[in-house]
Amino acid sequence: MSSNNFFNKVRLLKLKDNKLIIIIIIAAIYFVTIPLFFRNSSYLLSVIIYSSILSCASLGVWLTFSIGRINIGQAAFVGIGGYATAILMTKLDISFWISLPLSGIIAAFFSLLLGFVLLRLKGIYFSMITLTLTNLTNLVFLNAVFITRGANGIMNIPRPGAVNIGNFTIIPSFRTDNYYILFYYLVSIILIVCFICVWRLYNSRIGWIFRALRQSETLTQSIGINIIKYRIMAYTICGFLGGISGSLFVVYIQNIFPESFKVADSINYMLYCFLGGLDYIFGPILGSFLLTIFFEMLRGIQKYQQVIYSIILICIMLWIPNGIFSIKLSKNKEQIKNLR
Amino acid sequence: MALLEVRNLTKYFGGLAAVNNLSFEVNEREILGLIGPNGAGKSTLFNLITSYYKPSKGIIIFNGKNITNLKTHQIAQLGIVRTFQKTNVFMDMSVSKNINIAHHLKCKTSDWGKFIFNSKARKEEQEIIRNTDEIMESIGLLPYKSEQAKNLPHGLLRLLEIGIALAVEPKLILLDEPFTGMNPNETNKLIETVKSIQQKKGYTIILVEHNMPVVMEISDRIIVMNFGNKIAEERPIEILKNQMVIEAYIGKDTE
Repeated sequence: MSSNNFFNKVRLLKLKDNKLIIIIIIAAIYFVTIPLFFRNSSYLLSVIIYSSILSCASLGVWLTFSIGRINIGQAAFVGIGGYATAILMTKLDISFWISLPLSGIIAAFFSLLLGFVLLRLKGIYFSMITLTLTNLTNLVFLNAVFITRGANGIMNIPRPGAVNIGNFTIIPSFRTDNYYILFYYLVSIILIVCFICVWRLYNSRIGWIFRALRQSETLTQSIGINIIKYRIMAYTICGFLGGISGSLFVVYIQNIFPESFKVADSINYMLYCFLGGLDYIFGPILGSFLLTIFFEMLRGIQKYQQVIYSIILICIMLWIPNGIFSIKLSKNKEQIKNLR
Repeated sequence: MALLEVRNLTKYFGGLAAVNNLSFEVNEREILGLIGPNGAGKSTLFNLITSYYKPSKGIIIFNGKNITNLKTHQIAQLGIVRTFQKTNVFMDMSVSKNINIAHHLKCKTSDWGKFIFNSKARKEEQEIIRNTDEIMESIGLLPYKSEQAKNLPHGLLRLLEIGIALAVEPKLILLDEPFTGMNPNETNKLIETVKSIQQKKGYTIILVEHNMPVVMEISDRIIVMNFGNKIAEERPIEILKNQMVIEAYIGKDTE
């Protein structure tokens, strides 16, 4: 009877044996192989760092896609998170380790307020307004000179310091020469934690409510679900992820300007979701890694980088409109279904 | 005291009164038939009761409580559920998942609890899965439990809609033309299902339907609407003899 209960629990967790192996392999690659072989290649590490930070923001956009909304304003919240961290660290001398979650919460707070108003709008009107959000925040950053230093931006943002408890160093200081590998670990762990949280959320009853919202809001209402509450929940979590992304970014490149995060960035986050596949939680992560690495690889052909990039994007939209994950053959469909 | 009371309910769309000064009552455990030509305002009435539209005038009282200004999900929480004229289910989910989701109101775990899937959530989930199987059994959808809703034929989708409504365990169910497009076999099965819902579970039902034999057989009372007005309210046998009803459906002799 007790073994029966155990298997029931594992089934409810929706973890199968072979999935566990995949997870272990990925974890091994991430935390052992890459640092081992690429410890000194700051270029490669920076590409992965950059991709991971973008993945966080994309993951948020994915979550709003999951309730059936097209959110083209994520860069606004990345900017809010970025400025929050920059101001907290430079003006208030608050440690990064507190600024990071705080920035996420501040960005989430603003998306809560905005969501309350904006989410009432139907589909396309909502998307149109989100398109203007990034410009709105950029203007605010530009003009709120007394806190954001306006067009001068905020520079020389310190890198994260060490975290000590007594004589024990839990987190080493990033203010050394090998900070690339430290950043790599930092953003990887944060990305993995965010992914696990979104994965858990999407597989819970709440995730099914999100799916229901995407498929039929009228039916969802009529069975007693408060659609306003769950819409706002998804949008707020999206804002939180954006804020985290902005915070990491700003402390990595150590500066921020009003135009650091533009509308083009908002659109990119969306594109990463499309490329990876909207039906799969891993989609935005795969999309952002692939497109970032791909863009970097084209760096050699400096002149044609943008052109080729755009052509490939168009080809992707023509041939695999449902994203790369949808190419997986039918024998894997049952496994994939569990990810939904 | 009547379960549902509608008083002077009016809804204007521009200059047109889709529902005009409508008043009626529904008693507990009753099956009230609602008939009338297309455009009479029957679906509008359902939309008003469940708050998809706000009335221009009049009030709606359910179980002694004025629900006119409540939101749709709050009205569902109080115990009114509806089905839709155009089939409305979650197309990209399996039959069992459709009904599973509809158990939302029965699930007392907090959102956080649902997220971390604590023991309370686990227990409730097992209970809900069991109840879902029961519902599917009672309406005859059990063989299709893993089938995606979009693959189901029309008749089964209509059944699924009713299954979703049953999962909410309401006090009052509003059925909007559930018999549309059903063959005689399916129709008979559904008649049995609707009757058993009323008898075994004690639900109250308002049934909008164009299929006259069905309405006559199932309803305890019938209300006839035309151009937004109530033009008759009688027992099924009397309705057939009512001159105004005949005129509404067939037309008047112009001599």
